[in-house]
Amino acid sequence: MSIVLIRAAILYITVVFAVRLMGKRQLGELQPSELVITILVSNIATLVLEDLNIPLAVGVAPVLALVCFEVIMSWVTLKFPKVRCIVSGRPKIIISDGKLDREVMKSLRYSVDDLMTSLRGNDIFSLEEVQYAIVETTGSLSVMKKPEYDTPARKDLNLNPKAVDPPQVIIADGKLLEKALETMNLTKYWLDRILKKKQIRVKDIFIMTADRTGKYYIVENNHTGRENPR
Amino acid sequence: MKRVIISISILTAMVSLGIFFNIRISVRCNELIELTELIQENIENKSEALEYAGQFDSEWESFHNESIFIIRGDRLSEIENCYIRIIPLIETDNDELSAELAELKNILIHTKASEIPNIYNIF
Repeated sequence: MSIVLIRAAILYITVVFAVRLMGKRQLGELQPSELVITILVSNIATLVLEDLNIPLAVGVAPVLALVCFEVIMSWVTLKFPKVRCIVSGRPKIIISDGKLDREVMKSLRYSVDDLMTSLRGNDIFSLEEVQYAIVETTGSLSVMKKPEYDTPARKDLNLNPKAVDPPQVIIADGKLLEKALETMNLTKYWLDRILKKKQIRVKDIFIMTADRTGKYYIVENNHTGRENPR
Repeated sequence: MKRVIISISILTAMVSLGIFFNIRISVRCNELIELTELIQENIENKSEALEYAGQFDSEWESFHNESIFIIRGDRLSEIENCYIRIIPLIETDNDELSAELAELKNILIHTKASEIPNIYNIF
């Protein structure tokens, strides 16, 4: 039992390292080769856990090897677009100028149900709303609506909002994140002033977010939210 | 770029270790096979056979400790189950000794062959 636990811990560290080495992607954004590698890695790790006759090194080696091949291949595809086309394919335009291309659907083996499901996933329930749709190499569908069905932007309404970066967490779990404070061009003096005004200490705060304009939001450890009055 | 360098380093390290272990296991297996053959040749001479069996025993101990990282546990157990009978068979002048030695030699040859990549064991 203890051998299995130790092997599981080592494999866990290896798999986490391998996934980190592969880089940041969500499951739905993986290229076909990345998805295959992810599935393979999990299956190989399972084999080593289940069968104690397999030496750990013999289990870890293919996991690392596959991930390393994937990282190198992704670098090669970055440098050589032709290789990228071979490995990942090209995105295909399925709707252009509001017209559905049945030949492309056939080549993708994309059925009507697949198309409607993907459109509904993009909050579109009628084909007439679609100006342009492209099937990405990951299999997902990217859609551009016709202008008459699209949500107007502030620019369309002649509104000129001020561009502000989103707030960042500057205190998390009672600890001050100085780098985040610096990124928001805020000072410790500013923070101390706020905390003094609110009569609260850093360690009593669960989360504090702030943006560049100095607007902040505090969630205390006792789950009370406090916003600066504007 | 950092990831690519790390990946290439890991692959290089694994290939180097792989080649090292392949050579090492091949050499050690050859030593064990040689000792098995010496025992086979000296079946009639009990004392010589026992001496070589003793040498096999100490060689096996170090081989086992080295190869446990690479070779499957059940394969090593198979070899061990086979050779553990050799000394009692020599001491009792048992007729099964030749067969047992042949089996041991075969397993060792097979172990060596399965660790060296070739077209047959890749596919």
